[in-house]
Amino acid sequence: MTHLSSSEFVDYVEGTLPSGRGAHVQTCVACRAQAETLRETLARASRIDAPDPSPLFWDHFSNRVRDAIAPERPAAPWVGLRALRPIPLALAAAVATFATFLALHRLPAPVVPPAAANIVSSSPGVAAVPPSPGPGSESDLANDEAWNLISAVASGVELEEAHAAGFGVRPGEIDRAVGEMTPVERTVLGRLLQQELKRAGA
Amino acid sequence: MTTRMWMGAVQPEWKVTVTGAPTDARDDNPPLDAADEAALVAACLAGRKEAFDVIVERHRRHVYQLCYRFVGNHEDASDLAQDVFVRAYRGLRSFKGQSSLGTWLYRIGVNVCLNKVGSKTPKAEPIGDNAAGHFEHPADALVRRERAAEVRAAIARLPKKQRATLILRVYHELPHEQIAGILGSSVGAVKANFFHALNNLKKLLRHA
Repeated sequence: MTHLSSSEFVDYVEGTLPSGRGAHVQTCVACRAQAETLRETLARASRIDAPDPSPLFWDHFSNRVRDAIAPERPAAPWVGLRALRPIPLALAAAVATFATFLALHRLPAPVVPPAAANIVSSSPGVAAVPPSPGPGSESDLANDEAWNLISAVASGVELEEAHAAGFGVRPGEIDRAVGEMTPVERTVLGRLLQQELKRAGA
Repeated sequence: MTTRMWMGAVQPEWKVTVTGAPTDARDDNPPLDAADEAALVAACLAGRKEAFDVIVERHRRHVYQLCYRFVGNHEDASDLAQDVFVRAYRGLRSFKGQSSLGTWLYRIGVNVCLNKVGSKTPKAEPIGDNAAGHFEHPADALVRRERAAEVRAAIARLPKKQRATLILRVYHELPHEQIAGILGSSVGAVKANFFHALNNLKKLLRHA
């Protein structure tokens, strides 16, 4: 019968070697000596204590770790995206699309963008867009319902969301584009967003 | 909202409607003390640092003991254990849940210890510490400490994988399969390392 392999010696010392192979150790002087050496060394190593620190140490340790990770960045970017619901994404897409379109193809006020006008006129239940006097003042903006809706939605749009929706917008681009809209454009965008909200069941 | 129908010989013409608190009022920050590992990791990644406190609390003893086995003194062990948790926090997004969090922390701990400690002889604990936890004659304590120091010094001179294998197997009593996962080896390789670790330890102690 062949001598025990290194794995088998470990199994033998730990008492998990099958009895057939274990029987070899009883008859083989070399294997028995090797097994005894392993067993003695294991016993000697096992006797070395590792003292438990004071119970007070653990709270102190946790505080140290907490302080050490305080300046660290906690979250992975993809986690926020994974947690996104479809509705904010759709809204992000709508805002990003419209804002990017306006930013790239600035339309002279007070003309309604043709694409937007088509959408509005072909949408059932959407009133015709009233004629606009041109870009409004700040006080007008504060009372503008469409502006409030756009601001609320745009403020909740993270760049990561917009990127996830497939739109490459630069920081501040949405704010700038929406801020430069005429009242008519904001009204159209507001209606688009309301339609999107209704369609998404929000 | 629940609707209860009147159960009796004569059913009235009306029914009782009980309106309770809205059932969709869920807590966005559920308690973490009883949360499982996946929930804790997800909470950490979502920015809830208190979730990492729970992870630290659950694993700090094992991580500290592991580090202590490598360095042999409290001061260095606590520093290394802290480093393990800081590295774990930084790398939490890479934790995929393929192994347990404990195994993953052990893996980080072994790497941290092996990288930082190298083959230095561990510093001895101060004499005043009674590791045995009971009254011991000073002479006996001295002999015990000397022998322990010899064994620690011998373990510190083992090749890295043998040392890690021996520590995880003997002092943490981890199964060979888990050690294989921590060290990125096969079970056969772990057993072979353990065998050679014990053999080499015997030789080193003979010359001590």
